[in-house]
Amino acid sequence: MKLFSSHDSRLAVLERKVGLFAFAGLGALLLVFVIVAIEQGMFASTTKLRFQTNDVGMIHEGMEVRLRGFKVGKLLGISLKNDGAVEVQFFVDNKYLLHIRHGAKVRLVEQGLLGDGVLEIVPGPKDQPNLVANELLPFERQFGMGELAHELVERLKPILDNVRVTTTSLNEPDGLINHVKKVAVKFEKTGEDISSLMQQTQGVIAEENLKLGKALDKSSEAVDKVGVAVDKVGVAVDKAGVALDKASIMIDSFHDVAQDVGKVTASSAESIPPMLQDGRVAAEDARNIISSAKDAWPIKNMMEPGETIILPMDSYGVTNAQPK
Amino acid sequence: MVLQMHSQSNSALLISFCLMLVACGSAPEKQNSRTEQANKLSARADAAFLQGEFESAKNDYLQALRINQSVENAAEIAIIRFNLARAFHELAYPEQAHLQLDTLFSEPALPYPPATLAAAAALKSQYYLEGKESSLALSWIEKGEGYCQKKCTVAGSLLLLRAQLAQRDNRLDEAQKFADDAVAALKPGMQQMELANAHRLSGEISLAKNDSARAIHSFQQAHAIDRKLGIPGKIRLDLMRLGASHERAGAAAAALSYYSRALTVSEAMGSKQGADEVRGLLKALQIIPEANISGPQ
Repeated sequence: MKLFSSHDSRLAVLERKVGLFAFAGLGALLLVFVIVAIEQGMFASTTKLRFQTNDVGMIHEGMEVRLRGFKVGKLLGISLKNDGAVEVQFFVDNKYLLHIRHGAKVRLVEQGLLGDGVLEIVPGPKDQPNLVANELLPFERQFGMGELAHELVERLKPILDNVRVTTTSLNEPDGLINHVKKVAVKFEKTGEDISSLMQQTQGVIAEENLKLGKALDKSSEAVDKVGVAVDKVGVAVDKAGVALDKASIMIDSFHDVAQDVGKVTASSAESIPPMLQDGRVAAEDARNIISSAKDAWPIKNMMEPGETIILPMDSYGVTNAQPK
Repeated sequence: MVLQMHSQSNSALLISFCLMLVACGSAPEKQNSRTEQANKLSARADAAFLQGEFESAKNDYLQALRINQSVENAAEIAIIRFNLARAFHELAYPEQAHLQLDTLFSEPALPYPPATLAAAAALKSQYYLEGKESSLALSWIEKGEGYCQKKCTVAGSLLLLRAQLAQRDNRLDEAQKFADDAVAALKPGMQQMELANAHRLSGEISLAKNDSARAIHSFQQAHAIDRKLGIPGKIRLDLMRLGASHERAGAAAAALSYYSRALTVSEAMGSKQGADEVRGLLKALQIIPEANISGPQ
């Protein structure tokens, strides 16, 4: 280069410029490296912690450790112990360690339908002492989509069994449906009896009213006939008494029917509420899963908003095709 | 130079890939809550209509129409009025059906899509044709063709209506040509029901022209589609027409088989009138099976 610069003075200036450019480039590269290192927490003061699990599924080196949604650390390494347990080491930035007390636990959480897992620290009670380096924390897994689906299937099984058993018992000759049918027949019969009784009572009252009217008309003519009329009234009262007795029998019959209904309701009350409860929980789980799936990419993009569609033309109309 | 061009094409490829990726990742446009509600009602009404629950379909369409009118969704209003006209027609309210369709063509009108207006015109023509008002039916076919420009989805239906008009006027060659054009215009995937109608009409025209072989072929095609769609009334019609075609061709045994099948379908539908009609055809063949309707009358 000096050889060239001795021939051309412009090359000496160029040499300085190239040197400056190279220095600036190296400086920028170093700065970027430092920034990345800071971002990665290489210079941060950290504390190493660990947890043990018997399944390393969804856990991998470098995965994030979070506290209340904040990234507070990273998974360092996974090793298989002599006793067969898997030990996982991770570090937490010391500035967040104040929030994690003794009694804290680590939970593996899945993000969305296809999302990666993260380790979430569930902080212990605030009155507990601080954690020390290399302390062993308890570990648990939150249900992922697969586990939720499995759980749903497991919870649906007893419901379906219950439905099958209940349906069978309902359809048996002495089952609930036949029982209800019998009760309904009793009701109908009772209704008919009551209707008949009402008509009978009305008839008796009308007849006796007529007789009483006649008796009263005649009372002015012949006082001695009053006794006879009174006797007739007595007969009418007796008949009314019989009618009242019949009404009492009917009320007893009603009471029996009501007792039957009570038994039917009581026998259903034992089995139906747990079924409904299970069904409600299962339906809610299913709705949550479907709702989450619908909101997750890429299913979200596959879901088309509903559109109003025109019915297909049928110029050989349904009316022509189906004789009424 | 070649290297530079190669580099440019690579960049273009990369940009295209990125654009496609963005397009794939983009979410569809979110509907407003009222439009969404109206669409749900409309979808429910469509399902009710296809299940033959016309009263329920009518009520849901009316509600969906009111919501769409409140936000001036012109395209949806036009579609719902068309569907509503179909529901009213099935409920035997022909005036209400015509009123819904007339509203689409009266002033002041919203900018309704021409394809829906073409469909509405075709429907009016069909109703006039059913009412034996041929001149009005023809005028609405022409109006529909004006909106359709031979390219819309009801182009095949308009040809089918022209074929029916020609058949009614005993212009059989012309009718056959329109029916054939309709078969060609109707898309097998999208317009199955109308395609089956076109095959059936083509078969009827062929039968009227004493071309039994062609009629049988057309009815068989119609029957295959109707079985696929699962429309008992039309399956019954196809079987009756197939029986008639075989009877005309002198194949009494085949005719008997088709009529018997038509009778079974009629009985399964619980249609006494339909069953009696088929028995009449069987009687003409001198074979009358016993009545066997076990379903609702």
